[in-house]
Amino acid sequence: MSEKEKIVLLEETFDVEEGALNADMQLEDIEEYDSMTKLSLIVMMEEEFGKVLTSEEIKGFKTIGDILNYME
Amino acid sequence: MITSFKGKRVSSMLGILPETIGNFDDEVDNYSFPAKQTMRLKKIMGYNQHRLAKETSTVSDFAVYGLNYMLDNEWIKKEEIGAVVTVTLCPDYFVPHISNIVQAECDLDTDVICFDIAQGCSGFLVGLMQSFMLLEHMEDKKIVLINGDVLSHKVSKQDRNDFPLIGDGCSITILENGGEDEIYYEMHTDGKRGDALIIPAGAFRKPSTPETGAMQDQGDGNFRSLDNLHMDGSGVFNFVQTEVPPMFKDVFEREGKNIDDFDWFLLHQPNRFMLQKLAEKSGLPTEKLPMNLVENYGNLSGASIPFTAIYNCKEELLSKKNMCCLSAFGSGLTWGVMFMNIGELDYCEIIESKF
Repeated sequence: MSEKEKIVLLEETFDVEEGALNADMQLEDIEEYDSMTKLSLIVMMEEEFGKVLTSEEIKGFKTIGDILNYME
Repeated sequence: MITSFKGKRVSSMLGILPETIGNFDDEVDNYSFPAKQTMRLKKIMGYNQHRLAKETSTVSDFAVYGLNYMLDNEWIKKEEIGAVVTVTLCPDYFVPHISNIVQAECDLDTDVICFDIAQGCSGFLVGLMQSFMLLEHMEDKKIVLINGDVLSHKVSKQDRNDFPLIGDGCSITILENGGEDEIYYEMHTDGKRGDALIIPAGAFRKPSTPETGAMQDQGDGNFRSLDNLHMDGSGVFNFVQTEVPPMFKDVFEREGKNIDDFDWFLLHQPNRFMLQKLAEKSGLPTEKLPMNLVENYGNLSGASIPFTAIYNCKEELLSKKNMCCLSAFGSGLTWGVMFMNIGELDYCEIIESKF
């Protein structure tokens, strides 16, 4: 999956408009990054990548780039 | 543990609700999040209304009101009661227990066995297990199983992570010996993950002090204190998605069952999102799996399965036998599943109290 495809997937998961996210953005600055989005992220990671994303791993994410790196 | 029981039946089920209804729309401004973002939760999680006990109301208020309703309407006679078993996370006092208070308030005989069990989400399954074991020694006496919690008293109203889903209520299930039906029962515990659902302060380990009662920003926009209940949402979600689907798969294989063998899948009701994802991953049929308790009453902790049954299947439970797959998961952490014929009930109803 290309970086661009991953960003599109994240934008769907965050429920934000296309082009709203980029790798350098700090998660704490993103209003939509709340508990609901974190649950959606868990579901997306399992459905798309077959990975179980844990609470600890979520706490480790600081930027969109950190999430992109996990999406493999 | 996997075990089975035989010749036990549910004879009546009563749900007792608080009078007060909290509306999610009215609570949006309590949270520090933008309203638009909070409203997104309404649809996905199934938040709409939840029932909230009055500040002064306790589990025994609901239980006494309910048992007196049953006695007054001749659902059961005092002399038929062999035991009162209460499953709750919300004792009126550390001592005495709620079952003893119910025995006193309803003026039951001193021969009645009374005790409480501390369990949350899996409280109905744990209460049934204990009741079935007691029935082995009860002959024709019946068990009054009370499942109730008033957890809204322990949740911060400024905590969007925990408050919208919480609901208060109490169910009373009457159990007795009878019939020949086999009951399948399975229960698991993992205390190592217990802190995923916790009230950190207020008991003996960390008594309540002005410090434990201080509201703090948790860094994610939610405000709560150490005296408040907290659920690690993603931790609990992962736990349910990891442990429960394999449990269904294994039990269906082992017992030679499939989804067509069941009339109802009556599951604990954490929220619509979690139930949908659980149903998808476990291959459970959504038309037989009600998911609507949280939007009507809230997550009622141990009372959620009996309320889900009465709210969605009342007519069927009164008129015929229903093969039910019951499953609960949550605080402890615990998870379990049960197969049981429930039906041809004598009485089945939800009532509203003034509490």
